[in-house]
Amino acid sequence: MRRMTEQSQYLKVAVMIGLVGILALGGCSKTNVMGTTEGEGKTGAGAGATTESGGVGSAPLQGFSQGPSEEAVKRQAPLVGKADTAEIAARQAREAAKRELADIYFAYDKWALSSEGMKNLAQNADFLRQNPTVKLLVEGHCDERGSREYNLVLGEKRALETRRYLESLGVKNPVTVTSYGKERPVCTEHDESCYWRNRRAHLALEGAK
Amino acid sequence: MALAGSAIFAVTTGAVEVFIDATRGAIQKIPIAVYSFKSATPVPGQPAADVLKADLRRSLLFDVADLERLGITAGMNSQPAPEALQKAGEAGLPVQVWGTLLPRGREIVMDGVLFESSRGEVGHKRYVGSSEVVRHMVHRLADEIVFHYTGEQGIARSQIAFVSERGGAKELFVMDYDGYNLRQLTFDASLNLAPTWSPDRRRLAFVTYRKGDDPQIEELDLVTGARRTLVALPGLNITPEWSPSGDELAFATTRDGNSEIYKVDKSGRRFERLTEHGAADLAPTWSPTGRELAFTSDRGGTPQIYLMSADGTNVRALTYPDRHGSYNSSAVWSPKGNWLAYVCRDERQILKICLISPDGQQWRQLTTGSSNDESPSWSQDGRHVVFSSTRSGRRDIYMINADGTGLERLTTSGKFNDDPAWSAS
Repeated sequence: MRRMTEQSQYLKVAVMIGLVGILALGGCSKTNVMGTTEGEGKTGAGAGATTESGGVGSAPLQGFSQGPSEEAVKRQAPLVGKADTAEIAARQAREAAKRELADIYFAYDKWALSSEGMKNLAQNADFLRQNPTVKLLVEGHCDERGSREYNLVLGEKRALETRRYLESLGVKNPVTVTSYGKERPVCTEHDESCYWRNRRAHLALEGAK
Repeated sequence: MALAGSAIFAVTTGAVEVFIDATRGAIQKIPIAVYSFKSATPVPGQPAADVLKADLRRSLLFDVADLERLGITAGMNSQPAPEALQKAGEAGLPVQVWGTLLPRGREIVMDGVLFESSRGEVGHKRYVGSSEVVRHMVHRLADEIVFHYTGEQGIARSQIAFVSERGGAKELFVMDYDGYNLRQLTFDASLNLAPTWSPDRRRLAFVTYRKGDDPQIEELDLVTGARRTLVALPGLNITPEWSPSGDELAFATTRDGNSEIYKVDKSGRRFERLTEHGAADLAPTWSPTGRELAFTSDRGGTPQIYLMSADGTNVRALTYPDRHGSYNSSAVWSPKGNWLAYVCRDERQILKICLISPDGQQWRQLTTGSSNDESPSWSQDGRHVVFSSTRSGRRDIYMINADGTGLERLTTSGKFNDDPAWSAS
């Protein structure tokens, strides 16, 4: 029995510290969690809150009750996302109409062009100057060793550097630039044999067929 | 002994926010007995008591007792035998919980009882619903127990949105915080990235490439399924994060030629530019008060974490190459304010998750090993981080306690699961 008393005191201390936590949260949080809700208002009347199971904005907690209150837990209506088939078809058609050029490769963490990259771009520049209405898309890509977020920006830097160099060679074609960071790798091995292939500017011609 | 771990004291000194952390120090967990729920009806899936025990363990507030080892019968009928309750009390278990599952028509009624060894029954909960929602009834009961003893909302009702690769496309998915109840949200056959929850967890904002070459920021309403473009500026529109009030969205855009941080109001109409620098600024994250933002910038040569006021003034470095390594990116601010989790790169060029306090005084590496770990996101109670990792050989979503213990794998399907975002409760 003595032991039980000690436990009881221990628990009270624990609970009191818990309460300090509640008070320290301040009025704002306390209002949110203690505020009257639909369910609370009906406690004891046999009715209760309804909450969508695991769904959006789960209903506020009601607290433990003494009376016969009830909470209905509803299965969330399954949110069935629909495929926009027209949009997907248009994207696939555009993809199929692209003419891919050779990739330009970059050093780790860098966006400056290598001499080999410049040489390859010079060849593309000849074609573009001769076909000035052809549209060029430049996508920047990265290897997996940078963060997902920073690689989006690094990929764009590579694509922008590529466009800048082409323009310096007198290319006046419309050039669109984007970046896929490390989201669309050409290989997934975790070593340099794959890394270098992903650090690339991917060039594609549109309207060149 | 700090049990609550919920106190935030935000003191503004100049523009630096100081958060005093009540979770530090040894947390004295409450020993608790959980009896096997009496089930008078077959319920598919994991036994309710096991779900409850896992929830209570993950709260990090309770020490779930092994009743069999204490010689206490965990099985019961309508309630545990008086001798069992007595014995558990004597074994040092001040709190005891049990439940029953009974059929009522086509529905199931779940009763949960909270009992204290020193004073008897404290209260009970009754939930009614289909057999498919029994897990959610148990999650609610777990959060009620957490709330009863701490005043905190608990995390058992929370959800995790993430990106999963299906058929070469990256689609948005959502699951319960314990990895169950997986649902696919988009079917775009495109690239969707970086989901961020609105604080009321009704909407997800995310990056999509479905409209063309430039990634845009779109919003999905999880009640109606409606989708709406929020940011479609020319260039990349990336790394969105809702403000704690849900009134604004911070993001990065390259409309100005290089990546800068902006915010936009929830109507998607009023933009405000926050950074102005020739280097790349991206991946903004809000302090819980909404007064500060942390972000990633390569203005010093390599990516590092910086802080600024929410109006873009008072920019200063938080991580430094000589102290924290040459590559630090993509911070997320804990809802409790006391830590930022971010992606750090070690000397092996491997990405890990690191933690730093907003005053820079405390730092630690959270994840270890030779896997690439990325995309951290905090639980609302600030005691857990969810992230993606290659430690299983493929990329999956994992949960870890903020002290580095309790690693748990959450995804087991699909070969690439990434970019987790943890909702409020």
